[in-house]
Formats: sequence, structure tokens, C-alpha cells
Amino acid sequence: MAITGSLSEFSLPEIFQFLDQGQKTGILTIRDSKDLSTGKSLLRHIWLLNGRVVAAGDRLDNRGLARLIEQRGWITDRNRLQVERLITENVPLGINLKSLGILQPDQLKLLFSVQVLRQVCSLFQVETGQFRFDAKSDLPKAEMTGLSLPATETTLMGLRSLKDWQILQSKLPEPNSTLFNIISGQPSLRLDSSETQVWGFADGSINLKKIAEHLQVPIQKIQQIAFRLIVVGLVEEVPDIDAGMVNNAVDGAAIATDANGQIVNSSERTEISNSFLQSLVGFLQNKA
Amino acid sequence: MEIMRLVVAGTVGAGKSTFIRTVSEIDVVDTDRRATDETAEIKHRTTVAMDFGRLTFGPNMALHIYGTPGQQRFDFMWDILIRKAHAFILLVAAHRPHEFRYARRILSYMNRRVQIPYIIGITHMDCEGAWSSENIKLALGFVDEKNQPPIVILNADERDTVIQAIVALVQYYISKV
Repeated sequence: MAITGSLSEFSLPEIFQFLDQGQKTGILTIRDSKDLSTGKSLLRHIWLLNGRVVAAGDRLDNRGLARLIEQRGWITDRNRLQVERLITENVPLGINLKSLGILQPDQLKLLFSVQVLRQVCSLFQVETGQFRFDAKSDLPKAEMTGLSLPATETTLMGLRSLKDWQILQSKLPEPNSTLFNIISGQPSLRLDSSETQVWGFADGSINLKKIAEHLQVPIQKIQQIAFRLIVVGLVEEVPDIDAGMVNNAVDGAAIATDANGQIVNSSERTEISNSFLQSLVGFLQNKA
Repeated sequence: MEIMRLVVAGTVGAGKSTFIRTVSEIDVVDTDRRATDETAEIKHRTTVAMDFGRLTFGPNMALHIYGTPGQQRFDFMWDILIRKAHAFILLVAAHRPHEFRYARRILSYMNRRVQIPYIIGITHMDCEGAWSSENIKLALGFVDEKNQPPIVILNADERDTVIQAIVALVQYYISKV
């Protein structure tokens, strides 16, 4: 089943986190009839294999990677026929070209950087648009260099270079939230210095506002860094009680009465007997 | 009187108030007010304090069901409700993926404060753009198959599905204590 939606509702970092964690394979299409930053329409396809980005492009004719290679003058009259034949084979084109000595590993890295990193990272600037993910196992081998990158790592790179965070504003963690580390050991991703600093506070001891004060960094910046750590699956945001509401707690407690008019203010929960639970299940099953 | 207290948490518009209203034997004590934050874009009225419903099934036995506030801030009322809760159900509207992150926040908030059994209740599965339960689980951060709460699909307006969800929650509670 395809997953569709609007980027303004389910952002690209969230999509990538979902695809990475679910180790999804298929094609993600981003479409915008008018990209606000360029004024032109936008269409991008991103192919994923088990949650890793393996290729990207703006066409579905299996010629995208070959075109990039040709633009760099790496397809000559001597090997043109051979390349054409390899495009139709069911092996990533880059791997075949490397094994035949037509391309070197460094050239493949450059192609992957141009084809995937540059294109995908620029998508994080897209303010509006629709996305669609179709799970399919048949990926276009002619578009694949053979290299890949976890979707969340792509997110990290894309968000580091994001200048305008307005579109993600509603997704950012709250200033009074704390962060908790949710992995064991050190992260496999290479964090930059600011991410490492914030990561150091991911023990729930102080909230983002206090982290900002401690590091003498604007709170907005800390929220952005925290968001990056959240969407790559390193930390979770744990909201704290809205400080502005605590002062009203005395009035509020009066509302929190149970059916017998008793104020619910104890931190202890009562034990439930086994006979109670069995009676309850029987009672509910009779009602259903 | 022996009382079991369940909490119904969830994203805005997932059906928390309706869930309680559908199953309660008493008129639900609700505190719906005009929404004042971004919630107003989805619902004109939302629960600002809590909803309360009850099911009595013996001379000294009752199930109390509390609904959390609908607006996207965690205030003192949350703590008051969950301190005495025995279990909770998190309602998630399948057709509102932009709320999934808030649902994750609720789970993080609850799980860091209390260690009580919970299940996920997915609503609005029949709406356009609804995500599958498998994909919703992923979006909520449940990657490890072994470590997942039960998932139920329900319609908060339909009494039978609401009761089945409560049965699932109580049975899960029994299996955990």
C-alpha cells in the first residue's frame, strides 16, 4: 500500500526516519507543482533499499546515472556500447562499471554525492509539496552506483545545511522538554561538535532551555540540534509539565475528583484483586 | 469500593472524549472548552481538563475511565490523572500523520513518569489517507517486534469496538501484573 501525504504535515525528516526504522524498500516521490524557492515545479524520485538511500533522480527512464557519467566525459566512443549493454543488466550499473575498470571507486563516490547527496539534501529546503512512497522490491539497477547511505544519515546532512527552519518549526521539541538517550553505547553516526555537546545532556537532567543557557547558544539553535538527534533515532523528547500551568494546579486539583467526590491527589495506585479483574473481563465480554 | 482507573490518552481528534462517552454508564463529566492553541484548527472545542466516565459491575466494583486534555501541552492535569492510573490506552488517528510525533511525545511522557501497561488504539482507519497499523507502529517508534504493546483498531463511536479495546487493555494488564 502506498503512503501519501503532504510534506507540511509529515516532514521529510520524519519520512526518512520512518523509512530507515522500517528498513523500507521502494521509491519515494516528492512532487511540488511550484517550489517556492525556485518558482519551478519539482519532481524527485528517491530509491531506498532496506532503509538506505541507493539512488535519486528526476526521471524514471533509467538514464539518469548514465547521463551524469556522460556529462563528466567518462563515457567514450570506445566503451559506449558496453555501457549501453550494462544499463539493461540486473546489477547496479556502478558496480559493473567498476568491475570492468571503466570507473574507479573515487569516481563512483563523486557520482553518488552528485546524484544522491546533493539532490536529497536540497529537498529539505522544500516548503510545500506532496510525497508518495511505494514499497517495491524491483529497484532500477541502472540508476544505482552500488553505494548507499542510511536515510537518517541523509537527514542529518540535509538538516545541518538547512537555513530556513520555518517549515519544521512545529516539529521542533519544546524548550521545556528534556532529552533521553535511547541507544546503548556511542552513536554510529558521526556527530558534529554542537550535536555532541547536546547529546551529552541527553540524560533527562535538564531541559532544552537550560541546555541553551549552559552552552550559551540560542534556544532555537538547541531545538534544531535536538530535533536532528531525535529524527536520527539517538534521543527521545520527553515533555515536561507546562510551567505556566503549574501555578493553577491547586484550582485544577479540585476538578480531579473521582465518582465519589474524592480528590485524586495521591501518588499511590491501589492494587487490583484478581477476582475484580476476572469479573470486569466477564462483565465487558457480556456487554460486547 | 474497588476501583480500576484507566486513562485514555491520545492525539487531538483521535476520539478520546467519544471513546469515554460511548461506554460510560453515566453522563460523561467533560470539560470541553473552546480550543485556544493550534488545536483550534482541528476542533473548535477540546477537553481542557479531563473527561470522566464510569462502569459499575458489582456492588463494590467499578471501572473509572479518564480522558486526558486534548491540547498539545502537558500540564499538571496529566500528572494528576496518571499517578493513580492502572493502565492507559493511547488513541492515534490513522489519517493524521502530522500528529504521530505528538503521539510519540505522549508515550515518552507517560513511560518516563509511570510504568503501567498500555495499548495503542488506532482510530479513523476508514478515513482517506489512513496509514496501516504496521506503518503507524513504525512511525510511533516501535521497531523491535518483541517489545511492542498490543494494537487494537477501533471506532470510538461504536460501543462494541470500544469495549473490545478495554477488554484488550484489561487482559494486557492481567498479563503484566
